[in-house]
Amino acid sequence: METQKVGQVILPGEIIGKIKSTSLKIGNGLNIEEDKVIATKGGILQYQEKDKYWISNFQKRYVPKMDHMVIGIIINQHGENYSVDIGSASRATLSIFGFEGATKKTRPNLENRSAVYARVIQADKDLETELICIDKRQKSSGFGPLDDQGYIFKCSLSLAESLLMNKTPVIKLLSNYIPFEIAIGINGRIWVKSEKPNHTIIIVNSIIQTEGTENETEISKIIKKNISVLL
Amino acid sequence: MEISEYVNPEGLRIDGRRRKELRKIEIEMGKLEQVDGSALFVEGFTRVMASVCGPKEVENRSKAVEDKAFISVEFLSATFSTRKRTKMSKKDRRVLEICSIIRKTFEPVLQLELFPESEISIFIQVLQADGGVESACINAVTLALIDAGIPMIDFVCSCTGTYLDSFCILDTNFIEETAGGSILIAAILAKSKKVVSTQMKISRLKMENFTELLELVVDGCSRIYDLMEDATRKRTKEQLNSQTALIK
Repeated sequence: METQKVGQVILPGEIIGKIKSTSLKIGNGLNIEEDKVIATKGGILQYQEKDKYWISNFQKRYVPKMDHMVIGIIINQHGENYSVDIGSASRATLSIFGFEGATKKTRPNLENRSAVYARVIQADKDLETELICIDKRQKSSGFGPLDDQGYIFKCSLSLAESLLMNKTPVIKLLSNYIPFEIAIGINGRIWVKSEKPNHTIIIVNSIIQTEGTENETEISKIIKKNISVLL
Repeated sequence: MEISEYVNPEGLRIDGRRRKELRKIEIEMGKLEQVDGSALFVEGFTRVMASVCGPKEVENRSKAVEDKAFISVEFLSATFSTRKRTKMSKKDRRVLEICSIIRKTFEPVLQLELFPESEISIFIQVLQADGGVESACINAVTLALIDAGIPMIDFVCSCTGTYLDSFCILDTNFIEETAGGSILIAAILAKSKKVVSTQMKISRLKMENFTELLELVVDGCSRIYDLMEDATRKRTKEQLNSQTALIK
């Protein structure tokens, strides 16, 4: 497919181009109708090598994809499965054997409303979303139940993505002042645990206020302003 | 107030517009924080706020559809929005009518099969009603759906027209709408130029007048589309500027 619309704003219904080769791969927000590729979301057209196209937009609702790291909240337990809310269109399931070293005897004991950090291993529109709390080497490596002393807040999907891809230095700069633990779910949920409640408030405010900026001096200015309350 | 003529000999209407002139349109998107997508559509003195939540889990399990998402529409008209201060109940005939218009307009346009057994809920709040409320609702919902990022195959926009004093009039206000002429509400798919839904009220109209009216309304729709397109592009660029981190 050839198109000059890469990097431009696209609206639903816009024709992107005609299909020419079979190597074409389309992602988020694109649809094929007869021999044309048509946009179904408003956003910016993105391109990657070897004919990969998708639209990046700024939506708030999470759509599960394979290998995403998410923060879920346990709703209830059915036999060997927990049903987990990850903020998407349907509930996800998490097997009790999906934890490191879990067997029938040593099963994890999670209460309702407790939070877990998990990985998506099945994401299909017709099947249930499945989560797991171990990595590919069967180790926990950070996944698992999150401490209930922590605090979970919501943020936009793009902020969570930029934090996970280490594009903003907020967390690094914050750690110079306050010790804390953090878990970032790409579904727009962030878990923070620190020693004191007022530390947590400062961390949360700093992360939310620095959304959209990558400039290190600008971010450190905001953090210093927030920290000055403690001094 | 008795009105002897709705279009005077100079071709001007009671609010000073010409026959094919639209009212001033203002659009604001993403005003509400709590919902997934929202839009405010202002057309003259008509002011409609639409918000979209979803796709989310179905609240009422019995309404879930096996292979696609279910659209629920809630319409609220503020008591102060109309000339007569009245409270509309949720089961009012007009409320149910507008809900069904919205649902039928958007069902073929949205890609509902991507979210089986889920719900997309649309809330509409009319803040000021001065004619063309149904059209304003459809336009506001389109913008809110785009803001929420729900996949749709085309851009829907809508306009109202009426046949009064042997003239076709575009974008009616309240006085023209209650004057007794036939009112036509049409919604079109802007890119593929198809008419999704038409609605006639007090329908006694000659066939040739109807085609003239429909052409006029469809033309109005495409003019409204240009404005909506500009607003959406502007909004996306604003987001892009504030969140450059995502795009690189």
